[in-house]
Amino acid sequence: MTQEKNEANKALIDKINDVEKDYGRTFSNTQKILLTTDGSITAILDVLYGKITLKTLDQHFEEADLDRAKLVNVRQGEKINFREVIMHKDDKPLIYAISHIPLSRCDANICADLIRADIPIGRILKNYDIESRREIKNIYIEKPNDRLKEIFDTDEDMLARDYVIINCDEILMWIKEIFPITHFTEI
Amino acid sequence: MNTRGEPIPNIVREKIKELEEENDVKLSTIQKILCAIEGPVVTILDVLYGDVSLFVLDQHIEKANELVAEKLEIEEGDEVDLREVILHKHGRPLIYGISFIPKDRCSNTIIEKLLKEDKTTGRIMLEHKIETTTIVNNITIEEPRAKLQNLFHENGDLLIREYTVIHNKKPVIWSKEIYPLTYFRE
Repeated sequence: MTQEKNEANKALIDKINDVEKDYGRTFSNTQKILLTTDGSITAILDVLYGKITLKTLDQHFEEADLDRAKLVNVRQGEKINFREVIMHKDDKPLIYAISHIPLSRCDANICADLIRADIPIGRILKNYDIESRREIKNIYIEKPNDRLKEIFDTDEDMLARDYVIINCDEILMWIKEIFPITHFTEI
Repeated sequence: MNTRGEPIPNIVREKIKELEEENDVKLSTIQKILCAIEGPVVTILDVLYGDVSLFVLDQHIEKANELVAEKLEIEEGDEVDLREVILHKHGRPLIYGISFIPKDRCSNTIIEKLLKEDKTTGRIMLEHKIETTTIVNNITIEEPRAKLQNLFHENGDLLIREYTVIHNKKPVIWSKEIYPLTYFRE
């Protein structure tokens, strides 16, 4: 029998600790889990709140500008799917998310479900047995823009993270998730 | 565009609801999350407790019995790596895990790491950038066997999650995570 310290998620713990320290506030366990999980966030919200729904604010194909091209590692001008959604419980918005998905890496089924809308990306991957892994890139606090202020009806600071979902060694999706800093403090 | 979908079906949520009704218990937020997550459980424990440690109770290659063969979709008698571990924080047990990994579906490097190094399977998959899907097969509450009573120093009921990790369209891990129902209540 042997023993060794596990440091697999050291970087993620450090990221959370750094944000807490800089901000001068401790986050709740649920907030920390939502910011660091390398699985589907929908699965977590779902068991916490009961039935949740997805509201699609925008979904379209566009040519990637330089910044977006870098996020998903494609050439500038390549077509990507842009999606802007809110996960909510009844009328309460829980998490806002945007995603960029290179069209060249989507098979027809995934594309159809993206366009059909209102299906979370985690669920789309599960429906088609897409094997993947997630790399959390950044965890941070940001000020809300007017859109977020309106959606969440608050001007408080937002907790955010961005990550990529990798399939067949290529970035299939870049996703950013955002929620107000007072969300998930009591659940 | 501004559309709103139907409530999203979720098997884990339904299993939890059934479990709560049948056993007249309410799972805590963290217990529900531990049931639902698709990534490694160690990620959650690290975030909650600082980083946690792994203690390997047993690890060896053995021949798959009928049940293990069925779960891993292999032939009875095929070789599997059996791992029995405890995740703990400073000696306080958090979660007991038992997993079966078909030897023929792992590279030699991974088998070596499983056998010689005390890393969680989650960490090994992370290091090797292995792409997977996870299927939660079952969530149950059971009375503890003597061995687990001794490990946890508790004789109350245990919460058990059974799941399969799929890679290259085939099961590569069949695992159970077990802890007392009184854990992760805060």
